[in-house]
Amino acid sequence: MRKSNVQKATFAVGGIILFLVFFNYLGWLNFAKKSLRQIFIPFIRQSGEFSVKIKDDYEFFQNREQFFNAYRVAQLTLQKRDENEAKLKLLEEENMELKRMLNFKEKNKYEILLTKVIGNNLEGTEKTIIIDRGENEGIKIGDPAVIEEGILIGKVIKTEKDISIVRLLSDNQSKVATTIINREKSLGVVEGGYGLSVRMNFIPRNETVKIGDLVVTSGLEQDTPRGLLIGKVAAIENEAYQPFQQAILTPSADYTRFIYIGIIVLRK
Amino acid sequence: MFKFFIRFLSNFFLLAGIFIAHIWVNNVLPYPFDHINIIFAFLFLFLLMEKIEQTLWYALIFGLWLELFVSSSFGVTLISLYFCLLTTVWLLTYFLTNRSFYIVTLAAAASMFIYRIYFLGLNSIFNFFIKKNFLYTSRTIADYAYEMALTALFVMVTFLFLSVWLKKLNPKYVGRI
Repeated sequence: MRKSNVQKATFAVGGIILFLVFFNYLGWLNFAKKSLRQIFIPFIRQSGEFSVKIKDDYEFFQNREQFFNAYRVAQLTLQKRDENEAKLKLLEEENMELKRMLNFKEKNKYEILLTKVIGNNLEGTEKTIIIDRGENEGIKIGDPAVIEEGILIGKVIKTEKDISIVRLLSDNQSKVATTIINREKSLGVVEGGYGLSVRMNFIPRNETVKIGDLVVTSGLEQDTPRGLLIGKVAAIENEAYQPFQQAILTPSADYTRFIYIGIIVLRK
Repeated sequence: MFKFFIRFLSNFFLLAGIFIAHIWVNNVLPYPFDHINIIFAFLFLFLLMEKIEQTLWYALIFGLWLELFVSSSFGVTLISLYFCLLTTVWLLTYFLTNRSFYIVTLAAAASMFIYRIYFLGLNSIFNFFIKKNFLYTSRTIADYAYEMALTALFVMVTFLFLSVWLKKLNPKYVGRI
């Protein structure tokens, strides 16, 4: 009797799964999926925000001296940033002027779509986040995700009508074509899966890479514009027996604390 | 009718509670503890209590909810969870029949391993026919190993805790059933 009940349940559940998969690919489950999602999104959002809050609370100073030192460093950095910003503005103007003179037309125009992070993907082994915009807003697979208008944090890997999933650079399956801002403009691939840091692999061994060099996207991938900041070189591994050198990067963003992120979409 | 309604509600709240616990573990715990698969651990414990039919229905509901928030193609999690549970039932019925805590831990790890094998296989098939967003690296395997070890440990602790109260989990009562 019990065995036959188990068999019945096995066939019933198996049959329902087959129907669900089939109906999903026909698009008949979209409304049900959207409604079900709305039930759990508040819980995911709450836990995500709580997680960001805990991580913010952990950032403290051990003594007064450390606090003042950090403050001085921050002031100097800010000063330097202001100088750079002024220089950048001048260069931007100069660049625009030159482009106008050359009658240069940009092929691709991008715009940043602001989205709110709902929380982490429920597959615990992946470093991916769920955002509250999807195909309806023009997001598509491969679109880069950024913060502060220019720091790359990942790429969109799945889109639904109302949500999308972004794979962070720190995820073990993430790969991005990048370039180092050095004399040779060394090319390579930034890969995640190394805890908090990311690595840049496949840098030719004869090229000079220094600690502190900035790493940006190379623009060699479709939909990813050139020049999105990824991080700074923190260490270099150049072994005689290996064909390429590797650089360990300190990312410019903390991949665990996002509330809002931007998705770079192609302007129509 | 009233009884059915109460049973339906209690089951719904139990499943929703486990799902929300899974969300919190995933979002809040630090690496590598965020790899603990709460849903899988509870399904495995239900199997140990010999509630096979119920576990299969629970797996269907959990699988469907999970599908809403994962990056793999629709169906991969659902199908791998279903087949993994069927394999685990077979494993618990014919091979790992002892219910001591170390065998339970081993069975949980083996079951998680089977789940990941199905998951990787199905992902490869789905990505081949539908879309490619999944790349296997050695670090993927490391993440799965963390998940397997930590989930098995979680099952062990929960099993030890529950076996104090639940007769079906306590080996002392096996001879008397």
